[in-house]
Amino acid sequence: MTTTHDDNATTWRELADALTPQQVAYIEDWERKPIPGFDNDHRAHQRGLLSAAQEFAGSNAAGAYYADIAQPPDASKIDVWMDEGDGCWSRRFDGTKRVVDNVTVHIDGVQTGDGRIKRTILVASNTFGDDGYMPAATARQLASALIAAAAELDGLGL
Amino acid sequence: MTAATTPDVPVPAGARPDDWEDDSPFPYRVLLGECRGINGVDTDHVSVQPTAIQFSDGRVDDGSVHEPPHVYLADNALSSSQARELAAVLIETADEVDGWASR
Repeated sequence: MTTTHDDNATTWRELADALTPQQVAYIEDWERKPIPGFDNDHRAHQRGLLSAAQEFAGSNAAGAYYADIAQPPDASKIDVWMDEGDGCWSRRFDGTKRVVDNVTVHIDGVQTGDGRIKRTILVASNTFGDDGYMPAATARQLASALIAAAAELDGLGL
Repeated sequence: MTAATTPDVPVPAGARPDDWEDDSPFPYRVLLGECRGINGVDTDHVSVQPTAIQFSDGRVDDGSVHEPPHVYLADNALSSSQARELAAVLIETADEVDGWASR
């Protein structure tokens, strides 16, 4: 798809009609409160606002364009459509979670603009109590959770 | 700090010991077991390895001083077959580290 927003816009306000009220409020808040160390001068600040507006407008247009694509049946949370940078659009989603002590086995996925879905299993090792270390009993429970997640993934047909 | 003396204690089967460290009540060393991976995935991305602390009297710390034996997991995104393989490796590593703890 091609996005409908104006790539020649020079200020974010030229794109305001293509944004939701929440997106406009977000950018207006950013406009009032430049981020120290990031919005180092007025021009850089304005470029950041315009870039955010273009990204929002592109995602909004993609949402309308791909409105007929069914959401993944196991999705608990779906992100907006994003341009992958090569003209291809996709949206990421969260699937099921299995919690073992402080370890979580996630099924996460990506749906592309042609409706195809690719899922993977992730173990949230960054939430381990000690950076990936666990007792043997937790390791066995985690193994059970991984086997269950693998069965679910196969059942969904990847 | 490395221990001034080198205690003469046996290494649990399958373990690779690090240097002795001076500490109270006992000098200790870190034990590392086999780093297990899964097919088709670099161990930099997915690996499972047993670890434990051994004291200079030969005992393996049960967690009352430093930490109990652990299974260490480093991971990345997995397919279903890779997840099953990782599950098998986790169980195998848990068995090994439990074997150390029972000494």
